[in-house]
Amino acid sequence: MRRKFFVAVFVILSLLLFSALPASAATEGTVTGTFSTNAPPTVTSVTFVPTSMTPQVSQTITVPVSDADNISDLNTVVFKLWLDSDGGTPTEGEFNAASASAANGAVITWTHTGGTTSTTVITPATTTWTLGASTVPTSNPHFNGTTFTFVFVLTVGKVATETTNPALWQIAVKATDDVSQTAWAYDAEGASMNWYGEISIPATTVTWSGLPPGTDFVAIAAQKTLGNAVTYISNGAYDEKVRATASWAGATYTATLDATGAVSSSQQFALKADDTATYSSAVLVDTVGVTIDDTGVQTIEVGDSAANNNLWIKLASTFNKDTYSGSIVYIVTNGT
Amino acid sequence: MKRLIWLFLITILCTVFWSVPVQAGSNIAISGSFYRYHFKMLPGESLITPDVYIVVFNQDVEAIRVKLIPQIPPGVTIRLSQTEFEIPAKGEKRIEAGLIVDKQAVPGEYIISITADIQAAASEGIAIVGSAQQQAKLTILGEAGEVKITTLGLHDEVLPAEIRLYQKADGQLVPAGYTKTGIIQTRLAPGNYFAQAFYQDTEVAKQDFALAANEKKEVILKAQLVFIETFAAVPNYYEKNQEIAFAKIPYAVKTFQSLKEVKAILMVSFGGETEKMEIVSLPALEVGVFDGNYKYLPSQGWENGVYSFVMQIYSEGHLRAQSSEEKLEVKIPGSNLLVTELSAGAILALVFIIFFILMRRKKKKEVSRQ
Repeated sequence: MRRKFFVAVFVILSLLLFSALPASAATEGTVTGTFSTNAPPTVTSVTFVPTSMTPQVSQTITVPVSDADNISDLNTVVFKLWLDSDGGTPTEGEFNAASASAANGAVITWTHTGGTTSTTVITPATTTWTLGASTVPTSNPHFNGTTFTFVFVLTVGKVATETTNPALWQIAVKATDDVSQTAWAYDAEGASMNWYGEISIPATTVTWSGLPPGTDFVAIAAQKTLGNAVTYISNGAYDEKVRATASWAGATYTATLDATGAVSSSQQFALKADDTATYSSAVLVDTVGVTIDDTGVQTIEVGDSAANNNLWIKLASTFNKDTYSGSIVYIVTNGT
Repeated sequence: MKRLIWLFLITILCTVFWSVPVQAGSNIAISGSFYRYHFKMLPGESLITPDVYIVVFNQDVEAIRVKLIPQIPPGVTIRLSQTEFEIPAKGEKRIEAGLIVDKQAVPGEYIISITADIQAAASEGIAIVGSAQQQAKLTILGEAGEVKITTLGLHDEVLPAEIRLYQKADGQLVPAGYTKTGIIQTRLAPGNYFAQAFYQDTEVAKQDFALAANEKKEVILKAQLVFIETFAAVPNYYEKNQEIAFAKIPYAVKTFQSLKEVKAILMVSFGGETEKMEIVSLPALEVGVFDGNYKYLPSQGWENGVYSFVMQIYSEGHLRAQSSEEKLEVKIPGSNLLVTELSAGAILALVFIIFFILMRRKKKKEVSRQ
């Protein structure tokens, strides 16, 4: 009886042990069945040909994206363009941290919303950064293919920060599939951002009337304040300059600008200008352009309003009565 | 009293009136690359390249007429592709700016500029208008070297590529030459240079070089005209046990010149050994993109570890392109089965021993009873 019991125990234990082993047989490659795959997406490349960008000019970036499970497996394709102050090769960490702002970065997000529908949006919204007619999947065979070349067209905002070495604007893309697998790639060169300067002057009048010949700069009637502000928009350092046309024509006579301020000959006049009402800081205006402010820095999108521009005039002691016409030109230029 | 009245009347008669009717506002902007460079040129040298340009914007709601005014020292010319033009409302105009330095130009440092002026319609009075300007530095040097740069194709023929030549200065690239013919021969200021060749908007070659005063140098840009645009190693798994079945190798090859006797070689490295297999063999490959997929399965079966994949394209026996390395980490589910098997074997042996001992004890008892 006992012997039978021991034999039974042995057999049961042996069977239990052998039943635990068959899993190892799988290493011999005898499993049959279907393949189930969810391959991660691939961003083959990010191609941006120019080495520099110009604000307010549309830029084109080409991004081939692959997914062995078809493009329909993609959830999002996120394109980022961001300011990298130390330049070099972008990292995925920098990509993830980059956010949209008028001065420092833009994000275009393509989202697959189901079937053959998708949305593409750009941030920062309601700025001068705009999205152009981009190429994204719209139908089949786009979605049921394994590769699609996205083409993003965007216009760079007015105050996208101008770069100076070593800063660069980096350009990279990350694709995410429906099981959150990701792939990213970047443009190896990056791009510099060119300086942008804009000047806006509303319809403005300046009138000196009833000036006697020989009027000096310091005469009360010689000083005029511009009726409207001059607005400057720039993505970097800028200077404000002023110049005047060399001769101002009257109905009968002509007045000539004397950039030295001496006005020693008849019909000569001189001008001084400043962006304040303080005469002592005013500078003599010439026909090329003199700097009245060299401290301009990157502005916000609505610009920097210079509301206190003043002009001073000086006339030669011999000057004919007439109504003279000419131009005074306010200039925005890249900072020196 | 009469004298005072006469004096007053004379003063009034001599009075100057400066008046301005209402003017249209102005809203103009400028950008571009012109300002970015410190040009270093030689007397007699010219620089005409699309890399140097300005862009003038009309940010107003009405069209404007713009005149470009260069400011330059004697002996220097800024050649503008257009000097007067109209820009529609919210429009822009890109103008290329070339620099020409006469042989008589005086060496020295200068500030040069281009100003975009709005041409207001003639009106009575003093107009207040806006204008936008870019200024750059120009140094006219005294000594030079000479360089000839040639772009060659697959069979060492001159390739009509676009060459962009830059001087490397202060961490930036300053345009120094441009051609669409594939050959540049020019005098340059001594310094470090970078030449880049583009063919059909794709960079096909680049090279750095240095040039000394009075040196004559020849630079060859050997163009890469075959590119592996897509290459990946995508694992495919058995659904039942998540064991790797095979690696799918999608590839796309782009060529700018037709190729003969084309072979694509896949090299798979694992555990210090490299397996090479020819996955494509074609008598010819035309200009364009050729793509496909290859299903890779190791001849010895998959093992735990990292497999690395590289693809090479050969034509007429010459290596034309090589992919970057793609890595695939393989983890076979249940690969710790060896440990399980050993443990099971030990338990089995233990059971046998216990069984054997018990049987021996039982036998002994039976013998002692007898």
